[in-house]
Amino acid sequence: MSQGELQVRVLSPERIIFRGPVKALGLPGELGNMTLLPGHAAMVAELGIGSLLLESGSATPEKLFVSGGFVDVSRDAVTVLADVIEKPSEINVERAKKSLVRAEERLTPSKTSEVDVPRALSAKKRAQQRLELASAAKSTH
Amino acid sequence: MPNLKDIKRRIVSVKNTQKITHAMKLVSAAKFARANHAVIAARPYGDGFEEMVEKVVVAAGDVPSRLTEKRGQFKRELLILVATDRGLCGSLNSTLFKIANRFVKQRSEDGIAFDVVAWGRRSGMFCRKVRWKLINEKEKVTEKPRYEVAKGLAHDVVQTYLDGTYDTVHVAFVEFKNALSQVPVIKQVLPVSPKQKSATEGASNIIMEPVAAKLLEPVLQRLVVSQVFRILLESAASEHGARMTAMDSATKNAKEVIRKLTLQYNRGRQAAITKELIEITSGADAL
Repeated sequence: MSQGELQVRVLSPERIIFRGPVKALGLPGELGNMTLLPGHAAMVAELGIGSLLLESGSATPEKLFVSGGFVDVSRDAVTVLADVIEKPSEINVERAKKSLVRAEERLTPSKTSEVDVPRALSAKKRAQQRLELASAAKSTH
Repeated sequence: MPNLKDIKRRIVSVKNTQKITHAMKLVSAAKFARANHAVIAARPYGDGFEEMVEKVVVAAGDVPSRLTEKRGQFKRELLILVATDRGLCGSLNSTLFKIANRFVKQRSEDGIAFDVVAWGRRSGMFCRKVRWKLINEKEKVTEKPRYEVAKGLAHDVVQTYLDGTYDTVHVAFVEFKNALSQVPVIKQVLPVSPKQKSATEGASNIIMEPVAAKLLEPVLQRLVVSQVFRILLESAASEHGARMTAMDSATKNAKEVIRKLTLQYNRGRQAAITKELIEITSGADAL
């Protein structure tokens, strides 16, 4: 089993994003990034904001934007249940840029007393991750 | 014997109605196909999520959660009534309202106060008619169900439950079986009752990150969202399916009416011709 592959399903509430075998799966855990390899112990983990990496071996790994959700691992079968998941081509760059500006405005020291700081911080992180992924995808094409 | 001109006019009018019902049927069929597809596409997530919830619940063991514990006494309950925005969908709404009505009556006999939230325009109209205490009304939630929308709706509901306003929350909606059969049901969404696996293989060995006790709350909250989302999707599919069948039978009825009217018209025409002929021949005889 350890030499095998992970059977991965990446699901959003609305549809199946990806389904197939991969060599390794990188995930943004709530408590930090992690990489799952074949033979991983059974696990349930909460996901944070970041990018999901599908490494199928030869080709360059496929990257997806993830925000919130859970991952369920059991016997080399991995189910990613993401709240929001987008392919780099689906990312709305304009919207991400705008929300980044908005989040940064909220986080200026003069305002931090009146806004929901954790929420603004995660909005900022989401925007940054989206922009990073979108630009990385553009440069490779 | 009605005037021939009147019959002709009625035939034209029924034909026009038939055109409309036929067009509506085609539109509903297209919308139904999309809604049906959405229900199927959302299934893997829903199933996968429920499976995961089971594991977390087992791992969390005796950790109490305010979302699952049943309250000792019920004083005030919430019913969410999910109906369509538009009519012309057969008996879909009326059968739903019937069971909702029975449910509410039963509860008020038990001395429980009831508030109602209406999703869908028809639902609001019904609540006003029967004078239920309507505290919130939303339209167009089932038009194109999106997860974001379900999240917002579920969040509000969970808030009112947690702050103690309500002791249970039920949803009345039309469950989608297939294009021909939709079943109105009332389902309890809060407190959450996650499925319990009888013998979970080594659930205690599953790594939980963060620890199960911490994971439980967000997982259960998300379960409510996922349930609400499924309800919205199914309501949409039911609506279009029901409208499709209703419009199909309306078109068939129109066809039958046209057939009868045409028969009547032709008989009348024949009678008029015969009458005229008799008049002519008797006129000729008199000469």
